[in-house]
Amino acid sequence: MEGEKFILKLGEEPEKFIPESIEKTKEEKETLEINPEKLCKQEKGFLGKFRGKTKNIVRVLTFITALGVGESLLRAQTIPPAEAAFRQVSLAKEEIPHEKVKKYINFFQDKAVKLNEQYKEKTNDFVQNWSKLYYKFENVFLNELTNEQKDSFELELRGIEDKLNDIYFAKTVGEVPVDFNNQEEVESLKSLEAFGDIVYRESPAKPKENALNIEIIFLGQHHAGPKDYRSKHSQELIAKALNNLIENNGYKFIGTEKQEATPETIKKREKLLKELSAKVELTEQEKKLKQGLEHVLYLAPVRIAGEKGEEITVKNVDPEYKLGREKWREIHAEQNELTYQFFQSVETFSSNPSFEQELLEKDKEFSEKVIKYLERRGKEAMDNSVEEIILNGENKGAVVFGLGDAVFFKSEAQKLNQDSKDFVQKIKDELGKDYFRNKYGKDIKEINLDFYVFNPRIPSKSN
Amino acid sequence: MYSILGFLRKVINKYMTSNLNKLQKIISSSSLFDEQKKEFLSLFSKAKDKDLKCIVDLVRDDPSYIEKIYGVYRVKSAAFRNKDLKTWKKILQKEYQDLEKIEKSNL
Repeated sequence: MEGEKFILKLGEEPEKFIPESIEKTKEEKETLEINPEKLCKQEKGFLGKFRGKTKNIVRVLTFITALGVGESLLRAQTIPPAEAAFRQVSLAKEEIPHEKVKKYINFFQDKAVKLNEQYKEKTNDFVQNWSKLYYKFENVFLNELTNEQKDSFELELRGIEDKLNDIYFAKTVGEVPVDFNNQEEVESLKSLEAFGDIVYRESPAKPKENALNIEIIFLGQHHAGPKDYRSKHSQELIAKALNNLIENNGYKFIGTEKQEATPETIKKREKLLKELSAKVELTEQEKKLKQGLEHVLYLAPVRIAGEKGEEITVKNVDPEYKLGREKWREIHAEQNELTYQFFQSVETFSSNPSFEQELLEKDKEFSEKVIKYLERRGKEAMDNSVEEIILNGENKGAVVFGLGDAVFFKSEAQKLNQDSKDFVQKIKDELGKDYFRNKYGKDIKEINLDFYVFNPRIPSKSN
Repeated sequence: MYSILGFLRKVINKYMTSNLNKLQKIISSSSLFDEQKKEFLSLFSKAKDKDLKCIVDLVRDDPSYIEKIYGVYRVKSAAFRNKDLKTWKKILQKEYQDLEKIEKSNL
Protein backbone atom coordinates (compact mmCIF):
# COMPACT_ATOMS: atom_id res chain seq x y z
CA MET A 1 0.00 0.00 0.00
CA GLU A 2 2.33 2.66 -1.21
CA GLY A 3 1.20 6.17 -1.87
CA GLU A 4 -1.48 6.62 -4.48
CA LYS A 5 -1.32 3.02 -5.62
CA PHE A 6 -3.58 1.96 -2.83
CA ILE A 7 -6.51 3.86 -4.25
CA LEU A 8 -7.88 1.94 -7.16
CA LYS A 9 -8.09 3.89 -10.36
CA LEU A 10 -11.39 3.04 -11.96
CA GLY A 11 -11.04 1.60 -15.43
CA GLU A 12 -7.75 -0.07 -14.60
CA GLU A 13 -7.54 -3.60 -15.96
CA PRO A 14 -7.97 -6.31 -13.32
CA GLU A 15 -4.99 -8.51 -12.79
CA LYS A 16 -5.03 -12.27 -12.91
CA PHE A 17 -5.25 -12.96 -9.25
CA ILE A 18 -8.71 -13.24 -7.80
CA PRO A 19 -8.69 -13.91 -4.06
CA GLU A 20 -10.30 -17.18 -3.10
CA SER A 21 -12.72 -15.43 -0.80
CA ILE A 22 -14.23 -13.58 -3.75
CA GLU A 23 -14.59 -16.62 -5.93
CA LYS A 24 -16.43 -18.44 -3.19
CA THR A 25 -19.31 -15.98 -3.13
CA LYS A 26 -21.77 -18.07 -5.08
CA GLU A 27 -24.78 -15.79 -4.83
CA GLU A 28 -23.20 -12.95 -6.74
CA LYS A 29 -24.68 -12.54 -10.17
CA GLU A 30 -24.28 -9.85 -12.77
CA THR A 31 -24.68 -6.95 -10.38
CA LEU A 32 -23.29 -6.29 -6.95
CA GLU A 33 -25.62 -7.61 -4.31
CA ILE A 34 -26.81 -5.21 -1.68
CA ASN A 35 -25.60 -7.40 1.07
CA PRO A 36 -23.02 -5.54 3.12
CA GLU A 37 -22.42 -8.44 5.43
CA LYS A 38 -21.38 -10.61 2.53
CA LEU A 39 -19.24 -7.85 1.08
CA CYS A 40 -17.41 -7.44 4.34
CA LYS A 41 -16.90 -11.17 4.60
CA GLN A 42 -14.92 -11.03 1.38
CA GLU A 43 -12.44 -8.65 2.93
CA LYS A 44 -12.41 -10.45 6.23
CA GLY A 45 -11.16 -13.41 4.25
CA PHE A 46 -7.92 -11.46 3.82
CA LEU A 47 -7.34 -11.37 7.56
CA GLY A 48 -5.94 -14.89 7.77
CA LYS A 49 -3.44 -14.15 5.03
CA PHE A 50 -1.65 -11.21 6.63
CA ARG A 51 0.05 -10.39 9.89
CA GLY A 52 1.01 -7.46 12.08
CA LYS A 53 0.51 -3.99 10.65
CA THR A 54 -0.88 -5.36 7.39
CA LYS A 55 -3.51 -7.26 9.31
CA ASN A 56 -4.51 -4.04 11.02
CA ILE A 57 -4.84 -2.39 7.61
CA VAL A 58 -7.21 -5.20 6.58
CA ARG A 59 -9.27 -4.50 9.68
CA VAL A 60 -9.44 -0.84 8.75
CA LEU A 61 -10.46 -1.65 5.18
CA THR A 62 -13.18 -4.01 6.33
CA PHE A 63 -14.39 -1.49 8.82
CA ILE A 64 -14.53 1.23 6.18
CA THR A 65 -16.57 -1.10 3.98
CA ALA A 66 -18.96 -1.76 6.82
CA LEU A 67 -19.31 1.91 7.63
CA GLY A 68 -19.47 3.23 4.14
CA VAL A 69 -21.51 0.86 2.09
CA GLY A 70 -23.98 -1.01 4.17
CA GLU A 71 -26.93 0.54 5.88
CA SER A 72 -28.07 -2.70 7.44
CA LEU A 73 -24.63 -3.69 8.60
CA LEU A 74 -24.03 -0.18 9.74
CA ARG A 75 -27.01 -0.39 12.01
CA ALA A 76 -25.96 -3.73 13.38
CA GLN A 77 -22.42 -2.68 14.13
CA THR A 78 -22.77 0.86 15.23
CA ILE A 79 -23.95 2.65 18.29
CA PRO A 80 -27.56 3.56 19.04
CA PRO A 81 -28.81 6.62 17.13
CA ALA A 82 -29.14 8.68 20.29
CA GLU A 83 -25.49 8.28 21.15
CA ALA A 84 -24.48 9.00 17.57
CA ALA A 85 -26.44 12.21 17.75
CA PHE A 86 -24.69 13.25 20.95
CA ARG A 87 -21.34 12.55 19.37
CA GLN A 88 -22.16 14.64 16.38
CA VAL A 89 -23.16 17.43 18.68
CA SER A 90 -19.82 17.07 20.44
CA LEU A 91 -17.92 17.15 17.21
CA ALA A 92 -19.82 20.11 15.90
CA LYS A 93 -19.17 21.92 19.13
CA GLU A 94 -15.47 21.70 18.47
CA GLU A 95 -15.89 22.89 14.91
CA ILE A 96 -18.20 25.82 15.44
CA PRO A 97 -16.41 28.76 16.98
CA HIS A 98 -19.51 30.79 17.62
CA GLU A 99 -19.90 31.17 21.38
CA LYS A 100 -23.61 31.56 21.27
CA VAL A 101 -24.12 28.44 19.24
CA LYS A 102 -21.88 26.56 21.62
CA LYS A 103 -24.14 27.53 24.46
CA TYR A 104 -27.18 26.34 22.58
CA ILE A 105 -25.49 23.08 21.83
CA ASN A 106 -24.41 22.63 25.42
CA PHE A 107 -27.93 23.21 26.50
CA PHE A 108 -29.37 20.75 24.05
CA GLN A 109 -26.69 18.23 24.66
CA ASP A 110 -27.75 18.32 28.26
CA LYS A 111 -31.35 17.93 27.17
CA ALA A 112 -30.43 15.04 24.94
CA VAL A 113 -28.57 13.28 27.74
CA LYS A 114 -31.49 13.77 30.06
CA LEU A 115 -33.86 12.54 27.40
CA ASN A 116 -31.79 9.44 27.05
CA GLU A 117 -32.03 8.84 30.79
CA GLN A 118 -35.77 9.19 30.60
CA TYR A 119 -36.26 6.51 27.97
CA LYS A 120 -37.86 4.15 30.38
CA GLU A 121 -39.78 6.62 32.45
CA LYS A 122 -43.54 6.70 32.37
CA THR A 123 -43.78 10.43 32.11
CA ASN A 124 -45.07 13.22 29.97
CA ASP A 125 -41.52 14.57 29.87
CA PHE A 126 -41.22 12.76 26.59
CA VAL A 127 -43.50 15.21 24.89
CA GLN A 128 -42.14 18.38 26.39
CA ASN A 129 -38.46 17.48 26.14
CA TRP A 130 -38.62 16.08 22.70
CA SER A 131 -40.47 18.95 21.12
CA LYS A 132 -38.01 21.48 22.49
CA LEU A 133 -34.99 19.48 21.52
CA TYR A 134 -36.24 19.09 18.01
CA TYR A 135 -37.22 22.70 17.52
CA LYS A 136 -33.89 23.94 18.75
CA PHE A 137 -31.83 21.57 16.67
CA GLU A 138 -33.89 22.45 13.66
CA ASN A 139 -33.74 26.18 14.11
CA VAL A 140 -30.26 26.79 15.44
CA PHE A 141 -27.96 23.88 15.28
CA LEU A 142 -28.86 22.44 11.91
CA ASN A 143 -28.31 25.79 10.24
CA GLU A 144 -24.63 25.42 10.97
CA LEU A 145 -24.27 22.19 9.05
CA THR A 146 -23.95 21.31 5.39
CA ASN A 147 -27.09 20.04 3.68
CA GLU A 148 -25.77 16.51 3.66
CA GLN A 149 -24.93 16.61 7.34
CA LYS A 150 -28.25 18.22 8.04
CA ASP A 151 -30.19 15.44 6.34
CA SER A 152 -28.16 12.79 8.06
CA PHE A 153 -28.46 14.45 11.42
CA GLU A 154 -32.15 15.03 11.11
CA LEU A 155 -32.66 11.38 10.35
CA GLU A 156 -30.65 10.53 13.43
CA LEU A 157 -32.90 12.73 15.49
CA ARG A 158 -35.94 11.11 13.99
CA GLY A 159 -34.40 7.79 14.90
CA ILE A 160 -34.28 8.91 18.49
CA GLU A 161 -37.86 10.02 18.31
CA ASP A 162 -38.97 6.70 16.87
CA LYS A 163 -37.15 4.87 19.59
CA LEU A 164 -38.62 7.09 22.25
CA ASN A 165 -42.06 6.68 20.78
CA ASP A 166 -41.79 2.93 20.75
CA ILE A 167 -40.37 2.70 24.24
CA TYR A 168 -42.76 5.26 25.54
CA PHE A 169 -45.82 3.42 24.31
CA ALA A 170 -44.44 0.06 25.28
CA LYS A 171 -43.84 1.26 28.83
CA THR A 172 -46.94 3.33 29.34
CA VAL A 173 -49.70 1.48 27.64
CA GLY A 174 -48.11 -1.79 26.68
CA GLU A 175 -48.84 -4.02 23.75
CA VAL A 176 -52.57 -4.39 23.86
CA PRO A 177 -53.50 -8.00 23.23
CA VAL A 178 -56.22 -8.67 20.72
CA ASP A 179 -58.52 -10.57 23.04
CA PHE A 180 -61.89 -9.23 22.05
CA ASN A 181 -65.22 -10.68 22.95
CA ASN A 182 -66.78 -11.53 19.66
CA GLN A 183 -65.66 -12.98 16.38
CA GLU A 184 -66.92 -10.10 14.30
CA GLU A 185 -64.81 -7.64 16.24
CA VAL A 186 -61.80 -9.87 16.04
CA GLU A 187 -62.16 -10.09 12.27
CA SER A 188 -62.60 -6.36 12.03
CA LEU A 189 -59.41 -5.76 14.00
CA LYS A 190 -57.52 -8.31 12.04
CA SER A 191 -58.24 -6.37 8.89
CA LEU A 192 -57.09 -3.22 10.62
CA GLU A 193 -53.89 -4.85 11.64
CA ALA A 194 -52.98 -5.36 8.04
CA PHE A 195 -51.89 -1.75 8.10
CA GLY A 196 -50.28 -1.38 11.48
CA ASP A 197 -50.57 -1.90 15.20
CA ILE A 198 -52.97 -0.88 17.89
CA VAL A 199 -50.76 0.92 20.33
CA TYR A 200 -53.38 1.58 22.96
CA ARG A 201 -56.90 0.52 23.79
CA GLU A 202 -59.01 2.05 26.50
CA SER A 203 -61.91 -0.30 26.67
CA PRO A 204 -64.94 -0.36 28.94
CA ALA A 205 -65.49 -3.56 30.93
CA LYS A 206 -68.53 -4.56 28.83
CA PRO A 207 -71.37 -2.91 26.89
CA LYS A 208 -74.00 -1.36 29.18
CA GLU A 209 -77.74 -1.48 28.55
CA ASN A 210 -78.56 2.17 29.22
CA ALA A 211 -75.34 3.48 27.74
CA LEU A 212 -74.43 4.60 24.28
CA ASN A 213 -71.66 2.24 23.27
CA ILE A 214 -69.24 4.14 21.05
CA GLU A 215 -66.01 3.18 19.37
CA ILE A 216 -63.43 5.72 18.31
CA ILE A 217 -60.24 4.93 16.51
CA PHE A 218 -57.54 7.54 16.41
CA LEU A 219 -55.23 6.95 13.49
CA GLY A 220 -51.81 8.33 14.29
CA GLN A 221 -49.95 9.99 11.49
CA HIS A 222 -46.27 10.64 11.59
CA HIS A 223 -46.24 13.96 9.88
CA ALA A 224 -42.97 15.54 10.99
CA GLY A 225 -39.44 15.02 9.73
CA PRO A 226 -37.61 15.16 6.45
CA LYS A 227 -39.84 15.06 3.40
CA ASP A 228 -38.87 11.63 2.12
CA TYR A 229 -39.16 10.12 5.53
CA ARG A 230 -42.51 11.69 6.15
CA SER A 231 -44.10 10.65 2.89
CA LYS A 232 -42.57 7.22 3.05
CA HIS A 233 -44.01 6.39 6.41
CA SER A 234 -47.31 8.01 6.70
CA GLN A 235 -49.73 9.20 4.12
CA GLU A 236 -50.39 6.18 2.00
CA LEU A 237 -50.87 3.99 5.03
CA ILE A 238 -53.24 6.48 6.60
CA ALA A 239 -55.29 6.60 3.42
CA LYS A 240 -55.46 2.83 3.21
CA ALA A 241 -56.31 2.34 6.87
CA LEU A 242 -58.96 5.02 6.73
CA ASN A 243 -60.63 3.49 3.73
CA ASN A 244 -60.54 0.12 5.31
CA LEU A 245 -62.30 1.47 8.39
CA ILE A 246 -64.95 3.30 6.43
CA GLU A 247 -65.70 0.75 3.74
CA ASN A 248 -65.26 -2.53 5.52
CA ASN A 249 -65.83 -1.79 9.15
CA GLY A 250 -68.62 0.79 9.25
CA TYR A 251 -66.71 3.69 10.79
CA LYS A 252 -67.59 7.30 10.09
CA PHE A 253 -64.72 9.57 9.15
CA ILE A 254 -64.91 12.31 11.74
CA GLY A 255 -62.11 14.51 10.51
CA THR A 256 -58.47 15.27 10.74
CA GLU A 257 -57.41 16.39 14.14
CA LYS A 258 -54.31 17.91 12.70
CA GLN A 259 -53.08 17.95 9.17
CA GLU A 260 -49.71 19.36 8.41
CA ALA A 261 -47.86 18.96 5.17
CA THR A 262 -45.37 20.87 3.10
CA PRO A 263 -46.63 22.42 -0.13
CA GLU A 264 -44.46 19.91 -2.01
CA THR A 265 -46.10 16.97 -0.29
CA ILE A 266 -49.54 18.33 -0.99
CA LYS A 267 -48.62 18.87 -4.63
CA LYS A 268 -47.42 15.29 -4.88
CA ARG A 269 -50.66 13.99 -3.40
CA GLU A 270 -52.72 16.20 -5.67
CA LYS A 271 -50.75 15.03 -8.69
CA LEU A 272 -51.30 11.41 -7.74
CA LEU A 273 -55.00 12.00 -7.21
CA LYS A 274 -55.24 13.74 -10.58
CA GLU A 275 -53.53 10.80 -12.27
CA LEU A 276 -55.85 8.32 -10.60
CA SER A 277 -58.90 10.41 -11.47
CA ALA A 278 -57.87 10.45 -15.13
CA LYS A 279 -57.66 6.68 -15.37
CA VAL A 280 -60.67 4.93 -16.90
CA GLU A 281 -60.28 1.70 -15.01
CA LEU A 282 -58.84 1.47 -11.56
CA THR A 283 -57.69 -1.59 -9.69
CA GLU A 284 -59.19 -2.20 -6.27
CA GLN A 285 -56.02 -0.94 -4.65
CA GLU A 286 -56.02 2.21 -6.77
CA LYS A 287 -59.67 2.87 -5.95
CA LYS A 288 -58.92 2.74 -2.26
CA LEU A 289 -55.84 4.89 -2.63
CA LYS A 290 -57.83 7.46 -4.57
CA GLN A 291 -60.54 7.61 -1.93
CA GLY A 292 -57.92 7.83 0.79
CA LEU A 293 -56.21 10.71 -0.97
CA GLU A 294 -59.52 12.49 -1.30
CA HIS A 295 -60.03 12.20 2.42
CA VAL A 296 -56.56 13.40 3.26
CA LEU A 297 -56.60 16.23 0.75
CA TYR A 298 -60.13 17.55 0.81
CA LEU A 299 -61.78 16.67 4.06
CA ALA A 300 -59.07 18.08 6.32
CA PRO A 301 -60.43 21.00 8.32
CA VAL A 302 -57.29 23.06 7.97
CA ARG A 303 -53.95 22.39 6.42
CA ILE A 304 -50.97 24.15 7.81
CA ALA A 305 -48.36 24.20 5.12
CA GLY A 306 -44.64 23.96 5.46
CA GLU A 307 -42.29 25.32 8.03
CA LYS A 308 -43.48 28.87 7.50
CA GLY A 309 -46.96 27.99 8.59
CA GLU A 310 -48.49 29.14 5.34
CA GLU A 311 -52.02 28.03 4.93
CA ILE A 312 -53.06 26.17 1.82
CA THR A 313 -56.56 26.78 0.53
CA VAL A 314 -58.99 24.29 1.92
CA LYS A 315 -60.92 23.04 -1.05
CA ASN A 316 -63.75 21.33 0.69
CA VAL A 317 -64.15 21.49 4.41
CA ASP A 318 -66.49 18.84 5.73
CA PRO A 319 -69.53 20.97 6.64
CA GLU A 320 -70.38 18.73 9.55
CA TYR A 321 -66.97 18.99 11.07
CA LYS A 322 -67.36 20.56 14.46
CA LEU A 323 -64.01 21.96 15.32
CA GLY A 324 -63.78 24.24 12.34
CA ARG A 325 -61.17 26.32 10.74
CA GLU A 326 -61.18 29.29 13.10
CA LYS A 327 -60.70 27.05 16.09
CA TRP A 328 -57.66 25.53 14.49
CA ARG A 329 -56.16 28.90 13.76
CA GLU A 330 -56.59 29.77 17.40
CA ILE A 331 -55.00 26.56 18.64
CA HIS A 332 -52.02 26.79 16.33
CA ALA A 333 -51.52 30.42 17.20
CA GLU A 334 -51.23 29.38 20.82
CA GLN A 335 -48.72 26.68 19.99
CA ASN A 336 -46.65 29.11 17.96
CA GLU A 337 -46.73 31.62 20.77
CA LEU A 338 -45.39 29.05 23.23
CA THR A 339 -42.57 28.12 20.91
CA TYR A 340 -41.78 31.77 20.35
CA GLN A 341 -41.64 32.42 24.07
CA PHE A 342 -39.21 29.58 24.52
CA PHE A 343 -36.86 30.89 21.83
CA GLN A 344 -37.05 34.33 23.32
CA SER A 345 -36.03 33.00 26.70
CA VAL A 346 -33.03 31.19 25.26
CA GLU A 347 -32.00 34.32 23.38
CA THR A 348 -32.14 36.41 26.52
CA PHE A 349 -30.27 33.94 28.66
CA SER A 350 -27.51 33.30 26.20
CA SER A 351 -26.11 36.77 26.91
CA ASN A 352 -26.61 36.48 30.64
CA PRO A 353 -23.77 35.14 32.86
CA SER A 354 -26.19 33.17 35.03
CA PHE A 355 -28.22 31.96 32.09
CA GLU A 356 -28.13 28.27 33.03
CA GLN A 357 -30.00 28.75 36.30
CA GLU A 358 -32.54 31.06 34.78
CA LEU A 359 -32.98 28.82 31.80
CA LEU A 360 -33.84 25.92 34.03
CA GLU A 361 -36.48 27.98 35.76
CA LYS A 362 -37.89 29.24 32.53
CA ASP A 363 -37.71 25.77 31.13
CA LYS A 364 -39.99 24.48 33.87
CA GLU A 365 -42.46 27.26 33.33
CA PHE A 366 -42.46 26.61 29.61
CA SER A 367 -42.88 22.88 30.09
CA GLU A 368 -45.92 23.40 32.28
CA LYS A 369 -47.48 25.64 29.66
CA VAL A 370 -46.90 23.09 26.94
CA ILE A 371 -48.41 20.31 29.01
CA LYS A 372 -51.49 22.37 29.81
CA TYR A 373 -51.89 23.26 26.17
CA LEU A 374 -51.63 19.64 25.04
CA GLU A 375 -54.01 18.47 27.74
CA ARG A 376 -56.58 20.96 26.62
CA ARG A 377 -56.05 19.99 23.00
CA GLY A 378 -56.54 16.33 23.91
CA LYS A 379 -59.78 17.12 25.70
CA GLU A 380 -61.09 19.17 22.80
CA ALA A 381 -60.24 16.49 20.28
CA MET A 382 -61.86 13.80 22.39
CA ASP A 383 -65.03 15.76 23.20
CA ASN A 384 -65.46 16.92 19.62
CA SER A 385 -65.00 13.43 18.25
CA VAL A 386 -67.65 11.98 20.57
CA GLU A 387 -70.02 14.84 19.86
CA GLU A 388 -69.56 14.38 16.14
CA ILE A 389 -70.50 10.72 16.35
CA ILE A 390 -73.55 11.43 18.48
CA LEU A 391 -74.75 14.27 16.28
CA ASN A 392 -74.77 11.92 13.33
CA GLY A 393 -76.43 9.11 15.20
CA GLU A 394 -73.41 6.88 14.65
CA ASN A 395 -71.60 4.44 16.91
CA LYS A 396 -68.20 4.26 15.30
CA GLY A 397 -65.79 7.00 14.31
CA ALA A 398 -62.28 7.38 12.95
CA VAL A 399 -60.06 10.42 13.46
CA VAL A 400 -56.63 11.14 12.00
CA PHE A 401 -54.22 12.78 14.43
CA GLY A 402 -50.58 13.27 15.44
CA LEU A 403 -49.31 10.23 17.26
CA GLY A 404 -47.57 12.19 20.00
CA ASP A 405 -50.95 13.39 21.24
CA ALA A 406 -52.07 9.89 22.14
CA VAL A 407 -50.86 10.23 25.68
CA PHE A 408 -53.38 13.01 26.26
CA PHE A 409 -56.17 11.24 24.44
CA LYS A 410 -55.66 8.29 26.71
CA SER A 411 -56.28 10.26 29.89
CA GLU A 412 -59.20 12.09 28.26
CA ALA A 413 -60.80 8.82 27.20
CA GLN A 414 -60.57 7.58 30.77
CA LYS A 415 -62.07 10.81 32.11
CA LEU A 416 -64.87 10.69 29.56
CA ASN A 417 -65.84 7.19 30.61
CA GLN A 418 -65.80 8.25 34.26
CA ASP A 419 -67.79 11.45 33.79
CA SER A 420 -69.97 10.39 30.89
CA LYS A 421 -73.27 11.03 32.69
CA ASP A 422 -72.37 14.73 32.74
CA PHE A 423 -71.47 14.53 29.07
CA VAL A 424 -74.84 12.96 28.20
CA GLN A 425 -76.66 15.61 30.23
CA LYS A 426 -74.78 18.33 28.35
CA ILE A 427 -75.96 16.87 25.03
CA LYS A 428 -79.56 16.67 26.32
CA ASP A 429 -79.40 20.27 27.54
CA GLU A 430 -78.20 21.44 24.17
CA LEU A 431 -80.22 19.22 21.83
CA GLY A 432 -83.30 18.29 23.84
CA LYS A 433 -84.06 15.55 26.35
CA ASP A 434 -85.41 13.20 23.68
CA TYR A 435 -82.42 13.57 21.41
CA PHE A 436 -81.01 10.11 22.10
CA ARG A 437 -84.43 8.41 21.90
CA ASN A 438 -85.01 10.00 18.50
CA LYS A 439 -81.55 9.15 17.14
CA TYR A 440 -80.87 5.79 18.73
CA GLY A 441 -84.33 4.52 19.64
CA LYS A 442 -83.72 4.44 23.37
CA ASP A 443 -82.92 6.78 26.22
CA ILE A 444 -79.25 7.07 27.07
CA LYS A 445 -77.86 7.80 30.51
CA GLU A 446 -74.12 7.48 29.95
CA ILE A 447 -71.44 6.96 27.33
CA ASN A 448 -69.49 3.74 27.13
CA LEU A 449 -66.44 4.64 25.11
CA ASP A 450 -64.29 2.01 23.46
CA PHE A 451 -61.20 3.86 22.39
CA TYR A 452 -58.27 2.77 20.27
CA VAL A 453 -55.07 4.46 19.28
CA PHE A 454 -53.95 2.91 16.06
CA ASN A 455 -50.59 3.59 14.48
CA PRO A 456 -50.52 2.74 10.79
CA ARG A 457 -46.83 3.63 10.65
CA ILE A 458 -45.56 0.60 12.54
CA PRO A 459 -45.58 -2.58 10.46
CA SER A 460 -47.77 -5.28 11.87
CA LYS A 461 -46.09 -8.15 13.64
CA SER A 462 -48.61 -10.50 12.10
CA ASN A 463 -47.56 -9.52 8.60
CA MET B 1 -27.11 23.06 38.89
CA TYR B 2 -23.55 22.07 39.77
CA SER B 3 -24.33 18.44 39.16
CA ILE B 4 -25.56 19.18 35.64
CA LEU B 5 -22.45 21.20 34.81
CA GLY B 6 -20.31 18.48 36.32
CA PHE B 7 -22.05 15.89 34.24
CA LEU B 8 -21.61 17.97 31.13
CA ARG B 9 -17.92 18.40 31.85
CA LYS B 10 -17.66 14.65 32.29
CA VAL B 11 -19.35 14.05 28.95
CA ILE B 12 -17.12 16.59 27.24
CA ASN B 13 -13.96 15.14 28.81
CA LYS B 14 -15.00 11.70 27.67
CA TYR B 15 -15.21 12.89 24.09
CA MET B 16 -11.97 14.84 24.31
CA THR B 17 -10.03 11.64 25.01
CA SER B 18 -12.00 9.36 22.73
CA ASN B 19 -10.67 7.66 19.62
CA LEU B 20 -13.13 9.75 17.67
CA ASN B 21 -11.56 12.89 19.04
CA LYS B 22 -8.09 11.65 18.17
CA LEU B 23 -9.28 10.90 14.67
CA GLN B 24 -10.85 14.31 14.44
CA LYS B 25 -7.52 15.98 15.16
CA ILE B 26 -5.67 13.89 12.60
CA ILE B 27 -8.37 14.38 9.97
CA SER B 28 -8.42 18.13 10.63
CA SER B 29 -4.75 18.41 9.79
CA SER B 30 -5.01 16.19 6.71
CA SER B 31 -5.03 17.46 3.15
CA LEU B 32 -8.67 16.50 2.57
CA PHE B 33 -11.06 19.28 1.61
CA ASP B 34 -13.24 20.65 4.39
CA GLU B 35 -16.36 18.94 3.06
CA GLN B 36 -14.47 15.65 2.83
CA LYS B 37 -13.22 16.06 6.39
CA LYS B 38 -16.75 16.63 7.63
CA GLU B 39 -18.07 13.72 5.64
CA PHE B 40 -15.41 11.38 7.00
CA LEU B 41 -15.87 12.54 10.57
CA SER B 42 -19.60 12.19 10.27
CA LEU B 43 -19.06 8.63 9.09
CA PHE B 44 -16.77 7.77 11.97
CA SER B 45 -19.08 9.35 14.51
CA LYS B 46 -21.53 6.55 13.80
CA ALA B 47 -19.10 3.87 14.88
CA LYS B 48 -18.42 2.48 18.31
CA ASP B 49 -15.43 4.24 19.78
CA LYS B 50 -13.51 1.06 20.50
CA ASP B 51 -13.88 0.03 16.86
CA LEU B 52 -12.08 3.18 15.80
CA LYS B 53 -8.90 2.15 17.62
CA CYS B 54 -7.52 0.23 14.65
CA ILE B 55 -7.87 3.33 12.48
CA VAL B 56 -6.30 5.58 15.09
CA ASP B 57 -3.37 3.17 15.41
CA LEU B 58 -2.89 3.19 11.66
CA VAL B 59 -3.15 6.91 10.97
CA ARG B 60 -1.28 8.03 14.09
CA ASP B 61 1.88 6.34 12.78
CA ASP B 62 1.33 7.54 9.23
CA PRO B 63 -1.25 10.34 8.82
CA SER B 64 -1.10 9.98 5.04
CA TYR B 65 -3.34 6.94 5.44
CA ILE B 66 -6.24 9.30 6.06
CA GLU B 67 -6.31 10.33 2.41
CA LYS B 68 -5.80 6.75 1.32
CA ILE B 69 -8.64 5.28 3.30
CA TYR B 70 -10.86 8.17 2.33
CA GLY B 71 -10.18 7.26 -1.29
CA VAL B 72 -11.04 3.65 -0.59
CA TYR B 73 -14.24 4.69 1.11
CA ARG B 74 -15.26 6.80 -1.87
CA VAL B 75 -14.63 4.16 -4.53
CA LYS B 76 -16.31 1.49 -2.46
CA SER B 77 -19.33 3.67 -1.85
CA ALA B 78 -19.61 4.46 -5.55
CA ALA B 79 -19.33 0.81 -6.55
CA PHE B 80 -21.89 -0.17 -3.95
CA ARG B 81 -24.33 2.53 -4.93
CA ASN B 82 -24.06 1.57 -8.59
CA LYS B 83 -24.26 -2.14 -7.77
CA ASP B 84 -21.12 -2.44 -9.86
CA LEU B 85 -19.79 -5.91 -9.21
CA LYS B 86 -16.96 -5.59 -11.70
CA THR B 87 -15.55 -2.50 -10.03
CA TRP B 88 -16.07 -4.01 -6.61
CA LYS B 89 -13.97 -7.01 -7.57
CA LYS B 90 -11.30 -4.73 -8.98
CA ILE B 91 -11.17 -2.81 -5.74
CA LEU B 92 -10.69 -5.95 -3.73
CA GLN B 93 -8.10 -7.31 -6.15
CA LYS B 94 -6.16 -4.10 -5.92
CA GLU B 95 -6.47 -4.09 -2.16
CA TYR B 96 -5.15 -7.61 -1.97
CA GLN B 97 -2.18 -6.87 -4.20
CA ASP B 98 -1.27 -3.75 -2.27
CA LEU B 99 -1.55 -5.59 1.00
CA GLU B 100 0.81 -8.24 -0.31
CA LYS B 101 3.32 -5.57 -1.24
CA ILE B 102 3.14 -4.05 2.21
CA GLU B 103 3.52 -7.45 3.81
CA LYS B 104 6.64 -8.10 1.74
CA SER B 105 8.14 -4.71 2.51
CA ASN B 106 7.60 -5.34 6.23
CA LEU B 107 9.42 -8.64 6.18
